[in-house]
Amino acid sequence: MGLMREFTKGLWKDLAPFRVVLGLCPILAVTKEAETGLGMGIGVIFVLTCSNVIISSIRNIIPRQVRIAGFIVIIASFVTMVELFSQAYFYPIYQKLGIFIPLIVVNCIILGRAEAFASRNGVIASALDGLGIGLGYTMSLVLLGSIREILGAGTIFGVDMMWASFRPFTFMAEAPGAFVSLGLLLGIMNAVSRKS
Amino acid sequence: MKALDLIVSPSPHIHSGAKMTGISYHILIALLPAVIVGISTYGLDALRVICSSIACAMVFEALIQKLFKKPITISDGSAAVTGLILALILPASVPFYIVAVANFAGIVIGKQCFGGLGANPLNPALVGWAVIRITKAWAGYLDFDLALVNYDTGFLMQYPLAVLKAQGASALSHFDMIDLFLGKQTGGIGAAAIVWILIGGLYLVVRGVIRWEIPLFFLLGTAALSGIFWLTDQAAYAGPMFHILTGNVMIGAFFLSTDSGSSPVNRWGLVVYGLGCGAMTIFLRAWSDYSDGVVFACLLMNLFVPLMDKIKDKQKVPEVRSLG
Amino acid sequence: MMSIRSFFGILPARLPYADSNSPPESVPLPDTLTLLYSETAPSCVALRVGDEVKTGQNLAPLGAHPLVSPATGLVVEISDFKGPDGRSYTSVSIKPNSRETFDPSLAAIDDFSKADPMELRAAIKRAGFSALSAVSPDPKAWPKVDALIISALDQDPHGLANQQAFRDHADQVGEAIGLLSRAAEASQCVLAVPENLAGIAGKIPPGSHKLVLVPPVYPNGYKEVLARKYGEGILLQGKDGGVVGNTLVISVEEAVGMLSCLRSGRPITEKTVTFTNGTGTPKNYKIRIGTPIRALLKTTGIIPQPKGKVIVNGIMGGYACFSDEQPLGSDAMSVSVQSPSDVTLFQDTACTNCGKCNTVCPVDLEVNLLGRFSEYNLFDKCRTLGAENCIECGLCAYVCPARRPLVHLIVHAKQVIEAQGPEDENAEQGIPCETCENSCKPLRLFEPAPKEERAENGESR
Repeated sequence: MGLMREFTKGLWKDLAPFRVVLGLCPILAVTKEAETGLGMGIGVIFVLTCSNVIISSIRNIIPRQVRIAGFIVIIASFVTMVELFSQAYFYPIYQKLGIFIPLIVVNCIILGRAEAFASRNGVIASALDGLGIGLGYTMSLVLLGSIREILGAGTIFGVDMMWASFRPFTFMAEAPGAFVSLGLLLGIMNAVSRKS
Repeated sequence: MKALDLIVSPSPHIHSGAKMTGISYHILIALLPAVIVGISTYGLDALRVICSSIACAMVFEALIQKLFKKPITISDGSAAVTGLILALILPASVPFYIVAVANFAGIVIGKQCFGGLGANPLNPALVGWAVIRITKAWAGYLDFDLALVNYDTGFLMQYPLAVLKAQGASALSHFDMIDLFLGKQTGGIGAAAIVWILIGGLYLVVRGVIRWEIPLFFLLGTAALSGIFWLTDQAAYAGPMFHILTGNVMIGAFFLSTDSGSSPVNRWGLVVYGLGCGAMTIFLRAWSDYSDGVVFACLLMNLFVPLMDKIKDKQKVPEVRSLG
Repeated sequence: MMSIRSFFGILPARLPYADSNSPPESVPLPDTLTLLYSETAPSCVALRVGDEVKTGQNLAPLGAHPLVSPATGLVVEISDFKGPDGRSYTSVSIKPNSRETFDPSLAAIDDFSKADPMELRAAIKRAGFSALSAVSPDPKAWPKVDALIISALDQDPHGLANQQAFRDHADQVGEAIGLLSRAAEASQCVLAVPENLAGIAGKIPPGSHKLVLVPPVYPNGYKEVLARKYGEGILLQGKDGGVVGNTLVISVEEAVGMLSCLRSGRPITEKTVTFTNGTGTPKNYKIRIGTPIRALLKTTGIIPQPKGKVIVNGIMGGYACFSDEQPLGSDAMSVSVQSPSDVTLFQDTACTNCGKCNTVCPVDLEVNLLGRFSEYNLFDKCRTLGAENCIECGLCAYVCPARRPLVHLIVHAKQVIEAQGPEDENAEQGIPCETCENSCKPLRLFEPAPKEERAENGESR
C-alpha cells in the first residue's frame, strides 16, 4: 500500500511541473507539439526511473560530500543512452528536441528526486517514485503540448483537428504562448486542488 | 434621554464625488471625435469593429468576474475603454474572431488574472494587440496595406511607416505633412485621425484625467531621438515631424501610455516614462521588424513603472513638525 | 457649497475656506460641564466627587498639562472615558453654580514687556492654555523657538471661530504678538492672515512681526502646513541650508485669549465654535468649555437625525461622535451635523495608481503606496515612507476616485507604528537568512545536513 502511494503521488499530489513547479525549462521549450512533449516525457521516465534505482542501491556507498557529483555522473550516463538511442531510432524527434535531451542531466526534477528520495529510500520505492513522477511529467507535457498544438497549428500529434478555414492562433506556438498557457493551467490546477 | 443613533466613521466625512466611472467616461468622450472620423472614413466596417470590440471586452470582464466570484464592475467603464482603444488601433477590416481573441487576451490575461482594475502591470488593450500582432498567421489582417486594400477613402492608401520600412526615407516625399496631420493617412480606425486624437488628448489633460507630463515627454522623446537619427543620415531615417504624425504615436502619447494602473505617479517618474516610451518607439521603428513600435515601446516601459515610482525628489521627505 | 472639481482644469482645483462675519451667539450655561483630561494616571486629577471647585482652579496640579475649571460648582462624577479617537481620558463632570468665585491663585500681570518669560509661560499655563505646555510641560525647560506663527486661519473648511477672533480683536493682536514672542522667546514672529482678511490685517500697526497673506484654501490652516510653508522659509534665510528649526504655531483666538486672561487675572472659560449643518452659512457660538454638544444643538435648534453624523472639528479632518453628550473642550473648533443622505461611504476597492492623492497631499507623502502598504500590514514600509508625518487632513480620501478610505489606512499605520515604539537600531543586523532552506522544506528537496555533521565538515554558514 505504501509503495503504491509512492507511485501515485507523482500523478497528482507532487505533479512535477504544476504542483511543485519544477522542470519548467523543457516544459516551455518542447511543448510546441504534443509529439515532442511525449518524446521528452518518455526520455525523462527512463532516466528518472533508472537513475533512481541506481542511486538508491548505492546510496550507502557514496560519500555525502561528493553525492551531487556522483548523482550527475549516473544521470548523465542514462541521458547519453537516451540521446544515442533516439538518434538511432527516432531521428525526427531527436532533431526537434535538440539540446533539450542533453539538458535532462540538469533537470531539477531528476536531481531533486535523487537527492530528496532515492538517496534516502529503498530500491523498489525509488523505482516506483521515479516511474510515478516521470509519468506525471509526461502527462503534463502531453497536455500542454496538445493545447498549444491544437490552437497554434490546428493539429494534434500531426492529425488535423480543426475545420478547413481555421487560421491557426500561432501565438500559442511561440514562447509567450507557452508562458501564458502554462500560467493558466497552473492557475486552474490550483483552483481545482483548493476546492477538493 | 434616549441615545441618538449616530454613524461613526473615520475622517473625512465628505467626498469630492470623483468616481472611476467619471474617468472612464471622460476617456470615451475624448475618443469620440476619432471614432466619428474613423466611421466616416471606413464606413460600417469601422463601426462593426468598434462595437464588437467594446462588447467583447465588457462580456469577457463580466464573465471572468462571475467565474472568479468577484463583484461585476463593467459599469465603471474601464472595460469599455479597453475595448474602444483596442479597436481604434486595428484596421477596419479585421475579422470578428481576431477582435474577440485580442479582447480575451487583454481583459482576461492582461487584467483580471492580475487582480482587475488597478492591479494590471500592463495596459490591457496593448496586451490584446500584442497577442494578435505576434500571431504570424494573422499578420495579413493587421498589415494596413493588405487589410485596407478594398477601401476607397480619397487619399493615398499606403501605410507611411511601411513605406519607410521598405523603401527608406527618400520614398516619403509624396506624403504631405498637412494631410498626415489632418488624418488623411492609412492606419488604425481612430489612430490615424491625428488631429482628432490630439484634440481628445488635450481634453483629457485639461480635465485632469491624465497627467500632462506623459504625452509631452512621449512626443519630446520621439522627436528628439528621431531628430538625432535624421541628422546622422537623412536618406535612411525620416524626420521628427513624420514620426510624430504617423502610426500610433499620437494615440500612444495620449491614450495608450497613460492608463493609470500601468503608468508612474511621481513627476520625475512620469518624465522618464514618457521619454522612454518615445525613444523606444523610434528604436523599434528604426531597427525592429515591425513597422510601428509604439505598442511594444509602451508595454516595455509599463514593466519599468515600479522602478520609476521610486524616483522622487529628495526633499519630499517632510521633516518640519510644528510645536503646539 | 464647495468643490475641488476644477473649472475645466483651467483654474486649479481648490477647497476654499468659509468666509463670513458671524459674531458669536452665546450658548446658555448647561446643567453639567464635562472636562476630559488626557492623562489617565488617577493621581493627576486630585479631586473627589462632591468637592467644590472655583472657577480657574487647577484640577490636575500634578499633571503636565493644565486642567482648569471653567466654572464654580460641585464635582458630580469622575470616570474613565474612551474618546472617539480611541484614546483614554479621565472625565470630570461639574455641576455649575450661577454665582462664580474665581480662584485666588491667578493674578493679573500689568506690564508684559518687563515680565520674566518663564513667569509668563507659567501664568499662561495657570490660566488654562495648553499651547505652551504642550511644547514643554515645565515652563523652566523651554526649547529654542526659531519662529512663532500667529495664525488667523481656521483649520476646518467651515471654521469661522479663529477668523472671527481676528475680526473682533484686531486691535489686540499687536499686543498679543508682543506677549507671545516674549513668552516663547521666539527670534522671529509671523502673522499669517487669510487673504480675504487682508483689509483688517492692514490696520494692525507694523511691529516686529512679519505679515504673510495665506490663500484661504484648505488645508493651509493646518499648523503643520503653516509651519512648513512659512516657518521653514523664514528659518532658511541666512542659515545653513539643512537646518530645520522649531516653529511654534498659535491661533489668534488663543493668543488674544491669553492676552485678556493675563491682563484680567481670569482663567479661560469660554471658546468659540462654528456650527454648520451642511446647508446655509456656518455660524459661530460661544460656549462654556465642557459644554456637551447637546446643549449647543439645543441652542441652534437642529436635531441630528438617526443614521446621521455629528462631527467635531471639521468634516475633513474631524471625528464623528457616537453620542451628543460628547463635551466640547478647549480644543474644539467646530461642530457639523450631517443628515443621513449626506453621509459619505468609502469602499474597499483596489488602488488604480492614478496619483491624485499624491498631488493633493500637503505634506508630500506618497499616499498611494502608504495606503497599499497599510492595507497589507507592511507597517515597516509605512514607517520609511514617513507615515507619522500625515496630518490627517483628509484630502487624499476626498479626491480618491476609487473611494479608498486612505485616511483610515494611514491612521491605522500610524497607530501601529506608535505602538511598536521607536525604531530598533539592532533590527538591521543579526537575523540569519534561512529563506532558501525554509522555502525548500515543503518540497522536501534539499534538507540541510544535521548540525554536528556540518561542524565536522568545517562548513560555515
